[in-house]
Amino acid sequence: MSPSTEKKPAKKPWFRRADLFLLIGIAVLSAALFAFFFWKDTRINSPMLEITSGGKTIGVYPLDEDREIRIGDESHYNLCRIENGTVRMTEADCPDRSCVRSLAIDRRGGQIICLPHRVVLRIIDGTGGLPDAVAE
Amino acid sequence: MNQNSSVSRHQSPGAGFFRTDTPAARLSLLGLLTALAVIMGYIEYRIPLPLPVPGIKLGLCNIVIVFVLYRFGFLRAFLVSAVRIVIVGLLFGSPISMLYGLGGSLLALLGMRFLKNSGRFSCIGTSAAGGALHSAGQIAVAALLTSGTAVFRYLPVLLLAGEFCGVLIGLVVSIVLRRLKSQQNQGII
Repeated sequence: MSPSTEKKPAKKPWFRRADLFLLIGIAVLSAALFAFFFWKDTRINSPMLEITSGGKTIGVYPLDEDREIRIGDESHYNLCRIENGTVRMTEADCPDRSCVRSLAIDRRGGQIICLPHRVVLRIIDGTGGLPDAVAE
Repeated sequence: MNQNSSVSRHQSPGAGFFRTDTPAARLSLLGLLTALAVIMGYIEYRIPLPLPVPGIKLGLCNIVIVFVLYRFGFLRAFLVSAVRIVIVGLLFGSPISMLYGLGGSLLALLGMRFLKNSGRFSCIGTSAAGGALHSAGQIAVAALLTSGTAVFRYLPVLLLAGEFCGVLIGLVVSIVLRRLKSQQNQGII
């Protein structure tokens, strides 16, 4: 793109070898990250639902009890439901509502995030957190 | 030096709308391009993709941003991008969406400037890396906002999506740059 190469009649190629390496590099990086998170999820022994809002943990709940949890205050809210071992965000008054569209999460791991309200639902390993977990 | 020379390079005397030979011409052209980027952002805002992962967009407006990066250099590309993000944020978004946009855009443009100036990559590779970096920047802002690392789980899929969209954007920009150059050489615009 410098003016000196601009004057040459030879056209710049659309796609170069370095581009290919770059594309493969990014793809490999994301595959590695994907594998890492997958591996991390397989190490969950006793899954619990952890809810954080604005970085503060507001609760850790077992997955085998159905319940509905309201997160938020007068200005905004998210409604999260645990049902048959799966967790989903059923309602929210955030502008994009991508948390409601998010796939349900269950004992295999995963997370649901509401970015506008800074709410994170995620499956954590509850081992050691509760005495009951050891008995299982 | 690279940027300045690329600005004054195409002097088509007496020619039409795509002139970059005076400050006023450059300013009005960049204003037009910013408006185009805003409109593209609006079109995308009206067609949300129903995907379970937040943050995946085609990023049509990045056609304009990458184009400005190649024709006007890093600084002007960042200015157009920042003005676009503020306008779109005020019109359809929120202060938080502006933060995401600025974080992603700054990281993407810095990376693309580096790749472009290295001279080894074509527009497509540069744009693909820009797309991936845009995702990474947004995730970094999200991690700061949620004060946690949970959002990093979205990184693999967002990196791939950014790469894919970046390739498409880069292809379009390549075509535009080539057309523009050949038309300018022929004195059409």
